[in-house]
Amino acid sequence: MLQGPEPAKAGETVLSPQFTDSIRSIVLSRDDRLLAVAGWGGIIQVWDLPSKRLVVSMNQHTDFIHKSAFLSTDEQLLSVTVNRTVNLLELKSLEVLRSFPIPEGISRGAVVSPDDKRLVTLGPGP
Amino acid sequence: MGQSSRPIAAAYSPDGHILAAGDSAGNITLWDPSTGSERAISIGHRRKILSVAFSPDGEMLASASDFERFVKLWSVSSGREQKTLKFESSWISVVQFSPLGQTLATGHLDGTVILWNCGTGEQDAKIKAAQGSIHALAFTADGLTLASGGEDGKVKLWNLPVVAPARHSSAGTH
Repeated sequence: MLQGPEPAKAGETVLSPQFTDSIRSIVLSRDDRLLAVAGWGGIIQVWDLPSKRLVVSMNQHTDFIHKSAFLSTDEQLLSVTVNRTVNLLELKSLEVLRSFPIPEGISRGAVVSPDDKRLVTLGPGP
Repeated sequence: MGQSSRPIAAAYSPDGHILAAGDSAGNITLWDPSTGSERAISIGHRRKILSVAFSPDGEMLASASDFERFVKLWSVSSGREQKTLKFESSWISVVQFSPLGQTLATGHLDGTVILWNCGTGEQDAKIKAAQGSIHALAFTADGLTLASGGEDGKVKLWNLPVVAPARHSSAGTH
């Protein structure tokens, strides 16, 4: 049988996000320093990857998060929920810079352009 | 995209010049975001597309669909199939290329993660990574670690073997 890679540390679970619900998004900052995890519980957690320590746990959303993304400077984190709310969070201050609804349809997914200028959301449309 | 189809999965090419969108009918459309022009590619999926991903060099697109036990690798420029990666595990929920493009990771509904060698189309490794479905995969920028997460609410980090960058030839195997 094929040999799988080893877990990064002894023990299977390296990070313990204490999610009670399913994880739907894991994103890493470009410098590999931060790992953000989000999921059905509406919670976003940011971890310091080298030390495996939790930096912050936020509950900015009241519903399921299915997408999160670091913007190119690694200083802002975008999150999208299934009820069509988009939040843009400043990581340094933990301040929500922008929050806006997606106008039409139920959001099934989202993707951010590499230059951060566009957010494309997917859904059934009008 | 057809009238009755709905976009399910999308990904930007690394340079941002192409947006690939997979729909509920199993079609994939490549869009030019600056002009709005589109190009449909015939891909061989018959079920809704659940995940698409560009290779880091933007030359290849990976696609996976619901209730089909294969991943398609496509040449973005020609729209032609390069490889079909077949597996016996349960259905795929997410696909993700490693930063050097040598490995494609697929996350499955039974908690399995498979690491594919993009050059040979063979499985390099198969990991039981979660209890329940895998929904999220992310490689570190150095390609040495893969993070996985899913239904069980746990994030796991996996050390990966060091391998050479992939060379994506146009003469793939099927």
